[in-house]
Order: sequence, then structure tokens, then C-alpha cells
Amino acid sequence: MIQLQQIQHAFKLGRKGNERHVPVLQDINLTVNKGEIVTLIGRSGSGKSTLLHIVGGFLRPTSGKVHIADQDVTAYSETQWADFRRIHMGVVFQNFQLIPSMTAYENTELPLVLQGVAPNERRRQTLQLLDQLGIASYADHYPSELSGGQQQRVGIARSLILNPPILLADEPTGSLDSENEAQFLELLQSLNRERSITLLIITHDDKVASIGNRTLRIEDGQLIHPSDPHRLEVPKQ
Amino acid sequence: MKFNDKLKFVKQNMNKNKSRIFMTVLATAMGCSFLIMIASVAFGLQQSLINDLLQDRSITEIQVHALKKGESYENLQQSDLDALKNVEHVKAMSVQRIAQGETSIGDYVSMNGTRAVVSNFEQEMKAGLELSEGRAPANDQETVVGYHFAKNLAKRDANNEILENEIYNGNVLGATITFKAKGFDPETNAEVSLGEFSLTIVGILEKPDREWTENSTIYLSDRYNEILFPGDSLPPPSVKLIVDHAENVTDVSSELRSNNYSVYSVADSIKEMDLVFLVMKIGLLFVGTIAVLIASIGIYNTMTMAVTERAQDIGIMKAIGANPRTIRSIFLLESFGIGLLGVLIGTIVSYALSALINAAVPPILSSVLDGNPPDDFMFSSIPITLTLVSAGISLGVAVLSGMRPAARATRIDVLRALRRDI
Repeated sequence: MIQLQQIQHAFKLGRKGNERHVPVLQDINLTVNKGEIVTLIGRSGSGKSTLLHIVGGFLRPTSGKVHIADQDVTAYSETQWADFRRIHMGVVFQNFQLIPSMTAYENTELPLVLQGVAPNERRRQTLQLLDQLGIASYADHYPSELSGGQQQRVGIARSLILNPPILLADEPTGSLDSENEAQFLELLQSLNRERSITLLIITHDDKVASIGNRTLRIEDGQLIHPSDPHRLEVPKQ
Repeated sequence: MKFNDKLKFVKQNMNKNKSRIFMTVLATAMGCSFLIMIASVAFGLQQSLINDLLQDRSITEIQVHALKKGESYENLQQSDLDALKNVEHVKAMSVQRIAQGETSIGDYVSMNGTRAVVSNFEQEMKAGLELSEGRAPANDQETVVGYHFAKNLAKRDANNEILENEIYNGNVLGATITFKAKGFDPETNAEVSLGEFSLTIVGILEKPDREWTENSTIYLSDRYNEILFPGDSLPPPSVKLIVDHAENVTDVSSELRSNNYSVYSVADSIKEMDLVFLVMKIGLLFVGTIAVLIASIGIYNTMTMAVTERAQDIGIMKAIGANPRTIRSIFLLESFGIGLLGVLIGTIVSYALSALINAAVPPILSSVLDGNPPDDFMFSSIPITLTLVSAGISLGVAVLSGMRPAARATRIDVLRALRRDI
């Protein structure tokens, strides 16, 4: 489903004309199969978020190839990425990233609006999903009126509303308490089971990493594949 | 994304900062209104001048004065008149000669003599001679008279002095008048009588357009030409050609000029005037557009602030798959919306101001000047074309001023926006 080949990425830092290139990712090769949950762990600054941003099309790698859903998306333009992302992947962010001036219903409905779905159909699908995620009663609430767990559920609802085959999650439980975190992880696992969604989760949390079929560690921009794919290798902090 | 959803977005966005949007719309409305009002003065003055030119004249009328032969101009002869009548697009030809005399109905006699127009009734009616009452003469014993004919009739005393209190106050329609034609002996230059004719008034002409003009003329059949203008005394005619359509007037005029006729038509004057006013209108529209451009700075500023304020929202929308084109169209729609509201308000205000100015300016002019301005005088006129052109300029400028902020919105970096770095 997701295939990264020889991915390298470096950030340009400093003033123009006096820039220096700081390598962040080096020779990353990764394949995520359909329906698989892959968790990616690493220290802060190890390059895990950069890797997710490359998969999500928010960054273009300095070199290497990105294949998603059998398409070479490496050289996609911003417009092509926007259409591709809307259809093929949902993204869950650490800080939920809900639009504050929109209600939970409107935030969830937004991808359907962008997709040009008819209003009646939008309403049916949105209410159904909010109901499935247990937040239908908060549909008219603004993000500021919701708890962290409820906001993350709205974020999940928004990322799933178009039934994407891939879900990317960047530190999804970073802003949740332990109770909400447990509920959230259960939700991700059930989504994977029921919808066969492919999950790529970036985290530094052991508990989150434990839900992966595979857990990979990234260190100094290099991916370290564990010898036993089912054994969790968490670097000692 | 559907258009209705974009509109909903724009509405929501505009509601977020009503006071800023209101001020921007106000600036746009003022710019648009200024543009319309300044150009409306040129339209108003042009319309007033055209109205003035067209009083007692038709736009399809061409006056033919003489025929140029060599370096000199000669009076029109019958052969010229026959040729003129057959020019393509000429619907009618009025050939008038003026005779003088005195008219009476019973004891009432014309006070200042009578001016008699000798012409062909059929051609005159075709040329647009309009009656307020009665009908056209059917034979040479019938006549039509000017609107003020009766007012020119009064009794005289024994010394042949006019009794000004004894003005004819009956209806002249159907009355029989006596016209005593007078002429001059070319040798002695003494006044001579050319005959006396009994005529029945069967029609009264329309009141002249100009209020100060009085028409006491009588119309006589051109069969009287030989009696009224004996020998070689036939005067040069006053010739008017009536063209079938206004758009053919210029062509007919050109053809006549190429055949050495000396001609004048109101259409020619209006065409020349149109050119002058066109230049004036373009100049004024240009000046007015500067006001719209100044207003556009407000739109640019408002839209730039909107993009900055909504950078995070834009980043989120892009992250979940909003196409840059969609983002751009939402912001362009918003600047178009501001422009549209400004244009609507500006246009309504302009029409109201125009009506107010047209009502207020004539009394002011009357008090400042000695005389009164003409009845149809318009200081400001807003034809639909001016409204459309001004609306087009204002909307175009509004959209143009929103283009750069809209393009900036599409360039917002998703990651920086999500990190709240923008």
C-alpha cells in the first residue's frame, strides 16, 4: 500500500546564500502492506515526523521514490497531492487541528464538502459516523466546547469520512490523558479490523506503539528494522 | 467543491469581521458611485444638448440648401428637386416657399400680417407635419394653420388700428379665412396685391416645442406657386429630405455632399458632438476609475488580513485535501462579493444622487443666471450602459485586488500553518 525507496531528505537552514543542508532522513526503505498497522517510534528530532510528512505529501523528499496505492506520487504537484490525499488517506494530528469556527459536525463534514458531495448525503454520512464514534450528541459543539478525547474523535471522524484506505497518525495521543488514550487506541484497532484500514502511526509512546503489527524505530534519520518484526524495540531514553 | 458551499464559506468568513467588511464595502460603494456620478455629468449634458438640437427637428431630417457649381453655390432648381426626391432612402421631401399676406375671419384680421408656407401637403404630412386637431388638407381650398393662429387675429377700429382687447377667441377649426396675398413689384418696389383666396381651416398644427415660439403660419397648396410668385419671382425653396431610418442619414448626407449639395442634418451635428462627448466620457471614466482603484487598496488590505487570520484554517483545509484552486476561488469569491455589494450600494446611491442633482441644479442655475435653463435640462444622466460599464470596472478591480491575497492563500505551507508558525 505504501512503499518508500531510498528516501533521503535534508532541510535547508540559514539565510539565503549562506544556507546549510541538514540531513534528516537517509536511505529510508519501507513497505507498509494493505490492512497493516505500522508504528514508527523514535526520539524527538529523529526524523519520524518528517517521514510521515513525506508519506502525506506535505514534504517532497530530496531524493528517493514514494509509491502509494500503486501510484508513484514522488513528483506530484500540490494540486495532485490535494486530490490524492482527499481520496486515499486520512490524517490524524497530535493537536487535533480542528477549525475553531466550525462545529464538530461541520469539521467532520468538511472533506465531503471539498469532495462536492450533495448536502443530504453529507448529512446522512456525517451523522452516521459521528454516531459510530459516539460523539453524535456533540455534533453542534465547537471544538473549544469539547474535551481532548472528544476533539480527537472528531479529528478521526473527519479523517475517515471519505473512507480512505490509509490513515496516517502523527502523535495521535500526545494531547490525551491515559483514559482517553486507551479508548482512542481501541478505536484505531477496531477501525483496522472492521474497515481494513492501513495505519501508519508516529509515536514515542510505548502503549501506542504496541498496537502495531510491526514497530519500526527511526534513529538519526535511519530506519532500524527489528530482527523480529513482532518484537517491540523501544530505545532506552 | 460545489458553488453553493463556496458561497456558504464566503458568507461565514465575511460574518467573522463585519465591521471591516462593512468599511471595505463602503469604500467600494463610494468608488463605484463616484465613477458613475462623474461620467453621468457627461451623459446628462450630452442628452440635454441633443434634446435641444432635436426640438422642432427630426433626427431623420436633412436640410438641403444649395448646389455647388464650381466655386459658387446656386439655388436649387426643379431638376435638382426631382433628383433629390429619387435619392435612395428618402421617404419624403418638403419643399417650402414663403409668401406674405394678410388673413381675416369676418371682422378679425391678422395683427402682424400672415406668413404663408406654400408646399405640397402630401409630402409635408409624410415629412412628419403633426396636427393637434383636424386633418390634412384634401384640396387647394383647404388649409392647416399654426397653433397660435387665432391669437394673431384681432378687430380693428375705423382708423384701421388694432383693438388689442378684441382678440379672436373662437375655434378656428372649420372656419373660412380670407388670405390676401401681397408681393412687391420688382421695378417700383411697391407692395402689390397678388390675389385673394378663400380657404377652409381643416387642421391645426401641434404646439411648438419651444415655449417662446409662436406659430401663426398658414399652409397653402403648392398649386398657388404661380399666383403668389409670378414671372421670375419664384424664390429659392427651403428643402428638407426625410430619410426612412436614422442610421441611413449619414449615408444619404454623404451621398448628397458627394453630389455637391450643401446639406445639414441634426444627425451630423449629433455625430460630431458624440465624438467630443465620447472623449469626455472616457476621460471622466478614467478619473472615476482612479477612485475605484483607491477603493481596491481597501479590498486588497481586507483580503490580505483575511488570509493571514485564516492561515491555520487554510492549512487544515489543505491538509485534508482542499485543492489550491478551491482555496483561491473562495478568496476570489469573497473579494467579488465585497465588490458586488459595493457596486449594488454605489449604483443605488448614484441613481438617488442623480435624481437629486437634476432636481436641485435647475433652480440653482435660475437663481445664479438671468434666464432659466431649458425645460429638459439634465445635469446628470445614468444610462444602463454607464451602470454596466461602471459595475464591470468596479467588479473587475475588486477581483483583481483579491487575486494576490488569494494566490498567497494557495501558497500557505501546510506544516507551518499547522504549527501555527504563520
